[in-house]
Amino acid sequence: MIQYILRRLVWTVVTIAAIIAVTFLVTYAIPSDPARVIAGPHATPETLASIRAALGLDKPLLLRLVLYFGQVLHGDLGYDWVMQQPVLSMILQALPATVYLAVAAVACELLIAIPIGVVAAVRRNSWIDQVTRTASLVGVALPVYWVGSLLLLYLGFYAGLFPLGGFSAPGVVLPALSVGLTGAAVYVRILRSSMLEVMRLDYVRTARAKGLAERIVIWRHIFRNALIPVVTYLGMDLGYLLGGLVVTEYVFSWPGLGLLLNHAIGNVDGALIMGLTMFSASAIVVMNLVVDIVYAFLDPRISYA
Amino acid sequence: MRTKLRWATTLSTGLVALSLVLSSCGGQPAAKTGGNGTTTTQPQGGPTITTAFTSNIETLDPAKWTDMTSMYPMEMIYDTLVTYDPAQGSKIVPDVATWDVTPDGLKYTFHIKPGIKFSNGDPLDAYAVKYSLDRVTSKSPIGGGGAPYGFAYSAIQGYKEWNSSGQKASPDGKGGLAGVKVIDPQTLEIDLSTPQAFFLNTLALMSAAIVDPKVAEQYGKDFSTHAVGSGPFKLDSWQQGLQMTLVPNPNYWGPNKPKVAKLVLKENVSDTLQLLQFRQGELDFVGGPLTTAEYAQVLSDPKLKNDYFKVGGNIIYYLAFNTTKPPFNNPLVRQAVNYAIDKQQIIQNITNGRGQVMSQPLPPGIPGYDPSLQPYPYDPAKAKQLLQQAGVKLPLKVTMIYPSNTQDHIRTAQMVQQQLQQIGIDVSLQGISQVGTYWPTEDDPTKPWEIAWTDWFQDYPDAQDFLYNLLSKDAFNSTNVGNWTDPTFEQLVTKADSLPASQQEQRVQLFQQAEKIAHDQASWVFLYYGWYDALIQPWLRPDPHDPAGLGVYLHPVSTPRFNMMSVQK
Amino acid sequence: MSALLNVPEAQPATELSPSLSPWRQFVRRFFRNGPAVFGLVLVVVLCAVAILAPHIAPLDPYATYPDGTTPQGLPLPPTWRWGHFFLGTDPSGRDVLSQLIWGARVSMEVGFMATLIAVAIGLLIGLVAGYAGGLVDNVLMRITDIVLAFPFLLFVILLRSVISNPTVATVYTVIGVLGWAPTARITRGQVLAAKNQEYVEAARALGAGTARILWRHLLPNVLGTVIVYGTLQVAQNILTESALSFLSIGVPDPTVSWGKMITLGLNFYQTAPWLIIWPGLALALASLGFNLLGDGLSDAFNPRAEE
Repeated sequence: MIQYILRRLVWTVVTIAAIIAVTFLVTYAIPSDPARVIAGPHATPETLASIRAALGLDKPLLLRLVLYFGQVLHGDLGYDWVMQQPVLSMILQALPATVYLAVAAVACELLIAIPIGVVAAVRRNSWIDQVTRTASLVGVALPVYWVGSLLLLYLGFYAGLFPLGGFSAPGVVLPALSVGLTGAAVYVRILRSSMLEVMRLDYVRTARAKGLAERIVIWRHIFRNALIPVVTYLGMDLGYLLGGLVVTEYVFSWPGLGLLLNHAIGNVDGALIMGLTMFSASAIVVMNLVVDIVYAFLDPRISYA
Repeated sequence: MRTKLRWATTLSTGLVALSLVLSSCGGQPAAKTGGNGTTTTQPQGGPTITTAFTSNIETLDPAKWTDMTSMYPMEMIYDTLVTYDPAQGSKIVPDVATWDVTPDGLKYTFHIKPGIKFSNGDPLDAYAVKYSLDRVTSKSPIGGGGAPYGFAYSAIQGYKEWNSSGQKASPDGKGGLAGVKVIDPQTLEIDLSTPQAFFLNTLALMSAAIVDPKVAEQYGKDFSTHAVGSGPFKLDSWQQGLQMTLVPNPNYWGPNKPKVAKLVLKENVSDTLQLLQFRQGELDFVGGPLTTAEYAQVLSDPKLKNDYFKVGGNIIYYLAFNTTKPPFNNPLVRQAVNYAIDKQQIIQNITNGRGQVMSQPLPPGIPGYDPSLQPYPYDPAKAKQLLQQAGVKLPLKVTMIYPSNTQDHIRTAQMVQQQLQQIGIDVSLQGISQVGTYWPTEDDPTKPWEIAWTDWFQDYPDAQDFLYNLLSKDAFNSTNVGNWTDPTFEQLVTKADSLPASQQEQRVQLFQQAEKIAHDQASWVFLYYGWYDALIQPWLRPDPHDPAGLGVYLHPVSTPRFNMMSVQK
Repeated sequence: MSALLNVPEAQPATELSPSLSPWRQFVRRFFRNGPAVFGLVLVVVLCAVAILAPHIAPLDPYATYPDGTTPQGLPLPPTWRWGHFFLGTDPSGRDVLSQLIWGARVSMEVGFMATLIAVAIGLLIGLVAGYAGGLVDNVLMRITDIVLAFPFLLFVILLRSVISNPTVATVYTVIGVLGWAPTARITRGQVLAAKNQEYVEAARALGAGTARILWRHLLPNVLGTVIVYGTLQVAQNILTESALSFLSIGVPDPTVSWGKMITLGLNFYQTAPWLIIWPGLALALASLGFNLLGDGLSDAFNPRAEE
């Protein structure tokens, strides 16, 4: 077990190093030049050169990459000359909103997916199974910003049930619901098929034979065990979830990392784009690590040889 | 000033100062706050005005200021020496000071009204004014590369020496700009090295906002988040990127004290959301220019129609030609394009009628506009004939750049592409918003394009702001996007710029002659004149004594004066 | 991603009744599956629309018709008259139906090409890793793991946004180049399972070279699974393009895609809801079609997964 955790740990570090290197190299291709941002359009070439030297932009690429690693190790994601703030502080400021929305969105996905998945499995091939499966496929087929905008217009504006965007507790409902409606389909499928698998197992048959109420069999014996793949997928899904949040936050002016990224794209802000991508990618890798370790403790079926 | 494209917002003349930036961005001593500027006021009763922006409020520091969004709070927090008359937008009137000027236009004496205090109780005197001007013109006011708008004051004596000295402004009135002298605490003298007819206009810009020297010294480059001025409101709280709250300044000296308890400025709210929020009453004021999508709703909703205000402001929308290379170094080809574009259709489809076909660089409200000049009519046949006359081989392939961050810009570009296709010009579109492309006009003197969509929001109502900033040689590769030039035009504008305000009539004549040249030479494709508009809730209408609605706005960039709005709630 | 989960476990298709050839069995199973056939019909129709766009679009999708707006410049609602702004116009006075038809082209092109690139890279890496095993396998799979760990859309945005002067090809290349990792994983799994099958061993015993074994024996075996996954990926790539368009870093102007139509429409949805309804429906149908088709193929390839 310890060995497994250690291996995962080392592996996480390698992955994060790769993420840092890739984002750095890709962003390096952006001709947006901090020296130009600082000096303005009328600067002479000499001035630009001296600013570049002061910022270390004249050093060879590999050296800069190494220096950048050092910087990141010290918790410094660089200074953003466009926004005139340190990149990390902007990210940390926006992070809570994104985490808040992400948690709410996952909750929404599960709230939608669990009843549908269970019913679909229990009454498989019935009309209810067909309808819910198709409905969830339609859900996954719709762009999240499309769903979000319509929810905003109908539930937020015309019905007046929810705030029109912005950061607040009731304001999280609509963006979370948009992500939930478009993301729940996957969980419906996983849950349905894993329920079906569990149903075939012997102990379920035994439970039934003992005369346990069907409700108890379904929820206590089947559902619980069928949840394992759902939890696994949750961990894998984080990166996808984050992508959806980028778009959703924009629709609802939700002040998280996604909105920040949108502004960074619009402002030609290389430093911020690099910082955001790196930070969120690393965060996801770390989260995956945590999920795996927790999982290793919880699920005795996995062997860690 | 160019909105949306933040790197284009600087004026042209001077330069933006350069210095080594890093030296000062390190150790900022953690200043101990001693109750300074943090007097907590009980919010008085009364309603709250809420407004929102699509972007961040970038700064409250005049030495960092470049953008329009930041002007909304800054106009409310700070005073300037002079300002614009609320009733007649373009007229300069005293703000904290009255003034005398010598007939040669070289020496200004400002008499600061007595008893004016900053919101924290510090006195506003000539020392504070000098400090503020020294700070914004010094090379290293806050540890950045100099204030973006510092060069607007380059006509003041000793500007060059002070700017290149790299020293920081001092609150005791010593050093700094040689031409700015404290005579006594209520009297300030400013000497210019050359007459500048629009000098007072530059003193009404937010870069000339008067800051509290004590607080500015205390917080250095973090002054933005601790801003203290003497305007009708003061900063209460600011969650950067989310929202800023202003409350009335208890020490405000002016006649128009705020009639509300709070002013809330929400940041980063999309256009679509802003309009929904306004319709639901969450927002009280939606500033413009409104997007076409927003205006389309105004047109189809009678209630909104009632809340819609068209308020002055001078905006021009035009296409710049790259005149440094064929084919657009040939005036005939430029004229042909002017004939080939149906401006009326663009106004109808892109702005839903909120525009006037443009005939010349200056908008009608600016002295120097020549009413006898007619717009190029839409005449594709004439356009084809001119192309033939110029010997252009068709189809002509050109690249057009435009900011692709709003649907209205994208649609304009697509429409131009369609119309030019009719006369045999193939336009390939290149939207500029993705990372990796600076606005090539600013950044790349090689200009890998032929046509650029661009706009200009006036900084102050003087022809110089248009003709010099957009078409002079000094502004090459910068705000003169296409490097258009003409020797006679250059001469006329330079001459007009060197005349003092007392010779305004002669200036107007010179500008009109220059206008004719730009028109005849087809310096740009003249698209249309636009204006600011806004949505205002019924309870918060402009001053009833000012039915035109101009009172809400502070020329020249039309940010609202929330303190002057009448309140019925 | 959703599609990941629809991939059947690596297992050879067994349980074939001896009387029919595997292919016939497959076809029969597929066509007995109603939703799958519906998906196939949708996909075929969309592809036909995309290919025939120049012939069936009633108007020029890029032309800004002066009579295409009200005198105030507002877009026209659907007229339901063919050739006369059947599904309405956009605020520039362009015909929505024609844009929708031409938009199918771009959406399909991006969806298919990105998938093709991803599948090609993924197949190559998966085949090599699975067949070679050992160190090569280890290194390739570690790289795959790293790519899988990257948040897909974020890296698409990052990579796409550093490219100036994009074309449609830029967009699908970026999506494809970052999307190969799942295919590589799946392929490797299939190869590992197939490697020890008798026919591969027999081929090796007969002296077939590595390349030949990969090409002739392992590839066909793997292809079924990969086609299923690829079909689902097409749907996902179409949605990715629309998300990029929404963030204003999609296909370049003036090229019309469904994502761009929705993005423009979103600004106007209160005054002109038809601007987002039609492209939204088109997007949903396309995505639904490929998903149903993918599911159907998967069920047909792998009868035991059918419950």
